[in-house]
Amino acid sequence: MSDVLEISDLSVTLDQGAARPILDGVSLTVAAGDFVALVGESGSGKSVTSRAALGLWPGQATVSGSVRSCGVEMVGASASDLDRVRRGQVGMVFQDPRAGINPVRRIGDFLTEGPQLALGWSAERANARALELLEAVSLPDPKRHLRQYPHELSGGMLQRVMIASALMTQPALLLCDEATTALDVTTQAEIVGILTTLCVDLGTAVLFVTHDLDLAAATCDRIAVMYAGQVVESGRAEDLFEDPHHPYTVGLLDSRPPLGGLAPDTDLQAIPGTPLSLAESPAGCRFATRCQARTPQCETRPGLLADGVQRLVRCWHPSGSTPASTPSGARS
Amino acid sequence: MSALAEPALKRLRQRTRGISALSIVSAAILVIFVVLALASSWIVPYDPTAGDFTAILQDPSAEHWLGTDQQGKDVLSMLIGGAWTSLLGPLGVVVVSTVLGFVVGMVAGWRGGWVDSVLSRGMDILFAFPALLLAILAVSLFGKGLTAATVAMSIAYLPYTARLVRGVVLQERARPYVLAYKGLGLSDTFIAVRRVLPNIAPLVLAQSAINFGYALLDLAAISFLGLGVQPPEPDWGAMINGGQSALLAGAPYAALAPAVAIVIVVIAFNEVGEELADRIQGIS
Repeated sequence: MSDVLEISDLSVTLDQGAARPILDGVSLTVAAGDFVALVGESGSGKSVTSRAALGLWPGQATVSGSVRSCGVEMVGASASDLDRVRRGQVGMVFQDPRAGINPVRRIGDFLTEGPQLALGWSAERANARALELLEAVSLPDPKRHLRQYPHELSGGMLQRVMIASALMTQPALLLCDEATTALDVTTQAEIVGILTTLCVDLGTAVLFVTHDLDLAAATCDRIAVMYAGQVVESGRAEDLFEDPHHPYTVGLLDSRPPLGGLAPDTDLQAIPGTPLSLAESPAGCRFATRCQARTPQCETRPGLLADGVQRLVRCWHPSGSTPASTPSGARS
Repeated sequence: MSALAEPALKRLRQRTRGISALSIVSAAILVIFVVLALASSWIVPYDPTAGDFTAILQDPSAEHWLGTDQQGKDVLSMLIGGAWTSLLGPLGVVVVSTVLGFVVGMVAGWRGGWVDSVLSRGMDILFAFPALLLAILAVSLFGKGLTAATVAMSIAYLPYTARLVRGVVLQERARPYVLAYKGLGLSDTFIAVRRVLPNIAPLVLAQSAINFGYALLDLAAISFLGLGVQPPEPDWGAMINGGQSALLAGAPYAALAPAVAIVIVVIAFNEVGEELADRIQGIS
């Protein structure tokens, strides 16, 4: 299968006010039809990575490396290339549908104006497609909703509208930036269900940005864990869950409250320390200050090493069954 | 009350719920003045430019409701006749300064960087000039009259609108829906002009209503100084100027009537503008 998104060695450095790059040598691929999750805490660079697929960079930043969306290089892309990818090939669902939809335009306008204005669709074609998709995202009475304004719909309904809008042009890749974070848990489950069914049907690949590990595992084939602007571990969802190798992944998985409640006399495990701020720029491993397995070797920067089948880990002392082996795409 | 009028009144009451009585009265006053200005040539009892030397400096009477000035011109007729130029001038100022303010503010706020710096410093420099000083400069360059004064005032009022527009554009530009539009591949110009501008327009237009009152006051001051509308063309500022001597001669109405008219209209515009701004900010 060909890759719809190939990010290799992507670095994004803010021109002012940051000691370290907000993205530092990020590499990630999403194959056609694949579901990939990007997990990590706030500020780890998940959103910046996903927006890179559309060539939407943070203001006043220097970008290096390569991002190929549907075969088009987005780093230093011409306006026409950017438009081509944004208009038809890559769609995006934002975290807060209330903020992501223009409040003063009708739902119908929001859905149809992109294809109509950017791709020259006729109003009939755009309307028909909008109705079809609103039905597909299980919105009752889609005709009425087309004439309504965003404030007349609930958050869950609006997020369905957002998904419908992102899928209007049947893109090859859908970016979901915390698409369910602003919703309550039951709505979340519904939306994720609709999203996965629709994307499987359409053959659309999904890059699912979230901080919810369980959600990532439930929906995605592969997971990439980000910390302080780097991908620290990536692999198949089940492998990562059953046998996490990077100490940060181990910490993340341990800090989830278990469904059945904690055993008596045990505390919830937390990762000690605080996330790395943009003002801190350690020479070695980014996670070293919070890591229990730290050694003097961690003062030098670890590369992203192959660690088992389809598994990459950025750590000198990965836990788990397989020891670190041949460097793959390793960089100093 | 007729049965037909009742539902209409009820609807009106529902629509105006929460609006202060002062705002409603202000709006009504503005409507009355606009109607008077538009219909002036048909409703003035006397020719506002023609004097009558047999009836100078008269007190209010049945023939001359607001008396006459020192040339025997009917004050009420001048007041109604002068409403047109007195309202047209500020309207010009507000339209021109709002349109230019939108352009400057949008470009500065949307583009940011050095474009923003240059435009914002330019606006700061304009701020440093008092409006009246600019008007005197314009009059000395282009001659006396309403046009020169209006142009000068438009420039003087530009930074108020431009700053406001820039501020709200900066706010609006950071909203996720703008990013969503970019993600759809719509051009920056389209997003800025066709999508962001309509969203910020109501707030800016409310500010323009407030500016109208101030512009009216400033233009009246220019006419009062003899730099604006020239006699015998009726104008409220010029009337106050002309009525000064009558004031000393014991006939205050020639100066008092236009002065009161200016005060009322300015206050009414301020009230309506504030109300609009409050309501719009409350919504967004």
